[in-house]
Amino acid sequence: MTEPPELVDTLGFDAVYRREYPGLIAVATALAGDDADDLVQDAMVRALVRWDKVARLERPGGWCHRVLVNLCRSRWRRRVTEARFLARLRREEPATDGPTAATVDFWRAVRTLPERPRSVVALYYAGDHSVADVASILEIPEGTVRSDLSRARDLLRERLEA
Amino acid sequence: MTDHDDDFDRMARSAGAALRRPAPEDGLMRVRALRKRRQVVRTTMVGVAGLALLIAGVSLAKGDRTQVGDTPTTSPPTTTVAPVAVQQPLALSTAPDGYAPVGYALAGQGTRPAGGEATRGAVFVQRDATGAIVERVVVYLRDDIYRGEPGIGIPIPQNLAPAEGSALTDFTGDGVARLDYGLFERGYLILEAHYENRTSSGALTDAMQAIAASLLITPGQDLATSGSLPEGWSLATASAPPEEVVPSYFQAFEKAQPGSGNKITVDNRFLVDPGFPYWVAFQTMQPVIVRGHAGYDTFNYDYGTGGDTPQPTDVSSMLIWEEAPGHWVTLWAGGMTTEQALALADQLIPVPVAGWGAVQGAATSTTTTTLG
Repeated sequence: MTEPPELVDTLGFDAVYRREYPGLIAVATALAGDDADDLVQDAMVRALVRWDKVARLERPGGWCHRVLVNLCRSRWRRRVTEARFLARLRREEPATDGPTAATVDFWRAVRTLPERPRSVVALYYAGDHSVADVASILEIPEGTVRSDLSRARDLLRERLEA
Repeated sequence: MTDHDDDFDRMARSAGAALRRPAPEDGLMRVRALRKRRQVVRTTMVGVAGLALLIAGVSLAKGDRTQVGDTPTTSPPTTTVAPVAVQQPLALSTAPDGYAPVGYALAGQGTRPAGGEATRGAVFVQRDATGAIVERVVVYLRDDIYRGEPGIGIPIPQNLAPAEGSALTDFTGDGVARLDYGLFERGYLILEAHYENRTSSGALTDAMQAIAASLLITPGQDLATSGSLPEGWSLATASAPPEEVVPSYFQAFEKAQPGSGNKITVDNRFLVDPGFPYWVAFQTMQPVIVRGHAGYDTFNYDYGTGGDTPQPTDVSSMLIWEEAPGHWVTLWAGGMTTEQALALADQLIPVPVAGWGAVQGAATSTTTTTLG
């Protein structure tokens, strides 16, 4: 018996969610720090809202990453009131082993990079995407990704050794 | 790639791997719950034919601050502001382990950096017959090349480039109605407003679309409007959004008991801009004297997270006033009446804060004009 299209799509969403989550949370953490959970959730809600169309894309995961990067860039819009700032402080997060000091320092340095190289580095190293995937997600040439990575390496080395 | 690069790559990949973790068990459930509360409305500009969204490019002029006024306008000239003598920010506590209001605990304090991402913005307000503000729409224009996904959303007919851009209305769970317009190389336009319930939000989102369609976007100039705005609506201020160009010093307190929604925050920002309160305030704005200075009293609903329609769970007072020329203070007092918030404002004290001089210095480099 064939599944109704809607159910097939929904099941597809679950699989995409589980598959993409580790990369999405890593990219969001790299780019946005503490807001990562909310940003990934927001990106996936957007995907689910449009799932009938997103499911037909060749790479739904790439779409999710693109939306996530845009959300990270737009994170400031969510400030609105101190209430939300405090809500984040108040929220109880599950206890997990935190990243090492070196990891924290590395991503802190990444967040000082200009916007595009920052996104490139996060997608490449945190999202574990290939140069071609990063180029596709950010809609920039592969050569630009390579040059951003090269410049970012130099800058980050400099900043981390300072 | 050199050995040096290989070493770096290994370190960076390790730092990346440290951030990856599997999806939480309740993640899908939370996404589905939020999806129920979000309504996507394919917007159309057919009903606003004749209104021009005139887009001629993207301004890269970050930090310019210009027009403030209630009449439709084209972009006016800017005025440089002279530096003002350093003052101390106001706060309730002098140190992290110092005094806090009875029953509250210090939750955070420090300098909040400017965002620096939106190049231009504007605030539109709707007033009732008495002149009181009843609705507010905040507009941001960013330089991002935000394409969205082809086929998702609809083209904006008035857009100068054919079949580009998309419009999407989101009703987020925290009471924000948002219109996103991906305008490709011309930028990323965002309109936000607070809504109280979804059943009455149609008029608001219609107004937001009309406001978007009336925008005049000109390279190197602040946002302006063609003047074809819905009834009762006017442009209150247009500039680079203050939080994008001016850092602030803040202190935040929470009620000591867990789960309490009552918070106090005090925020100091240095900018010479009489339009600043429009960016911060929510619905109503009533003139009020705070600590002997002219200011505004407003309030905000703190939305809960349960149910499909956000419900106000807590009414709070917000005071905004100019403590000294260019020194704006915002006091947000959760669960307090105006009178209680005013009394709390009287308790604020100037505190020495390292780096506050730099905060002021950053602000004095901006330009502005006065109310029209």
